[in-house]
Amino acid sequence: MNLVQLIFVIIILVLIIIPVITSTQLSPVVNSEGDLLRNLSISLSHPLGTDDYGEDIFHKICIAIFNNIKYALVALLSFLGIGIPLGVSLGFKERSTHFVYIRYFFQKKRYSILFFKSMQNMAAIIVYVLQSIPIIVAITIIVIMNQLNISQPGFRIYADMLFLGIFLSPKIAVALADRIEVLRTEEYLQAAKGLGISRFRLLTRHILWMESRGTITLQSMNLLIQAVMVEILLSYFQFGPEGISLGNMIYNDINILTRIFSSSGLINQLDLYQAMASFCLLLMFSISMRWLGLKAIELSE
Amino acid sequence: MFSITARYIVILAVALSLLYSLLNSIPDKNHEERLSLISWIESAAQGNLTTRNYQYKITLWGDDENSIALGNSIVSSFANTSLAVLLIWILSTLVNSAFFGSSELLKNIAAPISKILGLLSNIHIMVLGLILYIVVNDQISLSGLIMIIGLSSNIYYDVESEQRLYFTDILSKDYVLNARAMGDSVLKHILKPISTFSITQILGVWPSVLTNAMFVEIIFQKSGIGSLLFQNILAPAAGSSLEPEIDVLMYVAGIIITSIITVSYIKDYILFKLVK
Repeated sequence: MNLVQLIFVIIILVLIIIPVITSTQLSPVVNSEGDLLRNLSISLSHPLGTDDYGEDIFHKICIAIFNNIKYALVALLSFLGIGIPLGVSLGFKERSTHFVYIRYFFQKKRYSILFFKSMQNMAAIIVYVLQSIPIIVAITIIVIMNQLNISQPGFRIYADMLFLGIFLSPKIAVALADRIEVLRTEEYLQAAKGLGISRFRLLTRHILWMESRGTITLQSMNLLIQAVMVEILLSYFQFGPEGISLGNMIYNDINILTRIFSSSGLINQLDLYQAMASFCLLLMFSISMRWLGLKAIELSE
Repeated sequence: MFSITARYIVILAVALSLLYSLLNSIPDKNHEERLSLISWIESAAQGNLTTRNYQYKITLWGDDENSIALGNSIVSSFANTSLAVLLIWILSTLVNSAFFGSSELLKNIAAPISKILGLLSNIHIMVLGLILYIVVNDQISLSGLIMIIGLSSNIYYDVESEQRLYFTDILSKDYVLNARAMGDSVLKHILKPISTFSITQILGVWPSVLTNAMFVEIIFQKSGIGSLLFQNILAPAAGSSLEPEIDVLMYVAGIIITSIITVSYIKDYILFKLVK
């Protein structure tokens, strides 16, 4: 099973790299006389043939996955940017009652610590609040908000992804907080503290990089999957991006495949292969990203 | 206990305020006066809210033709979610019981089942839902619906592996080994901790399964919160001249958030009592 998953990962990586090397713009396939080559069958130069518009399906899929990764990276940016600070705050939060803290710090006059404790409590509230809003409700709100507030359609998908990352950030925050809570009792961290290593270095190098990189990678991979799925959902309801994307391809393929499966007549094999290509890619992407995440945990441990 | 209750009240208040302020940032063509959150909740409780497009009354229950009742859809989604949670818990318990039992035959049967379900679980609900939609169109049975709600998006995988870890841990406890050595029933000793763990686990996955249920209801257009969101909010916003029904969204989202927070509160309450 691991070998199959490794092959999937390599295929996905190759597909993402191809548009970077060649071109992210799709141009129709023409013959030497300049005529469009529509519905070409599968060949070595066109591994999935061409469609009704003479566009190479394989190249289209490569561009689609490249664009989807681009959108997902925007989500990842806000996911990590908000999730990691929230997780760190939550992980270092003490379990005692808030009132005890307030009394203690007011008596001792250590207002800076009181400030940090208040920030930690606020972080906990933010995490719980974001966790209580189901992602589908959040997506619905975000999409309508951006649809009516952002006039340029090209920017909407980026804004949607930015908000998606924020709403999903509790996932990494909670995972990180659990990890930090376990680490706090570790002897070598106590020893490092005793040796005078700065809190910042302890947090970034020892806790976040050396101990939590597996958790962060796994959560990031899950986010990438989720972002791709959300783009598909948005495109399914015509809220997606305007260019080539997996969601737009799947939206068209669903119509073709539903027609194929519901008709009792002769099935056009080329149509079937071409329409199924994006689904196969999506399945491979889903499985390989998950595997990559689990592998990252394994390697970091 | 007071601390937990106070925390959840604050969370509920902040979540509803956030939701309401986000929804109020959506431009309103009719330029109606915005209510405060408290006034809005009051209006919703008295059944005074109306839809933006046809001025239908928004209610929880009722069969008036000039009103839109949301209760049935909400109950339907909650029921689907609960059944899906129960199904994955039963499947996971059966598989893990077979693994920890003494019968080699059961272990051999459970191993491939666990692998297949785990692999299926790796597939996101959107992918699984769309593939099934293509194959069966919208002619999916309730049991099929519940199966894909529970199995996909890593939920089954997480439940099974978490349960297995817990079983491994509890079966190696001293008091269990002692009971086994004395010839006493092990089940009698592990029943209480396992029941508590199972209840908290079921309550813990409930919100994720609810999200899955809404995804599936949107894809298959089955009665539930998902199709309600699609018909009243997503479809009007997707290009028709109708306005998205913001009050319907707030009503439904408010109930969902309250239920999720209640479930989390019950879970924390059980854990608190357990620690005490």
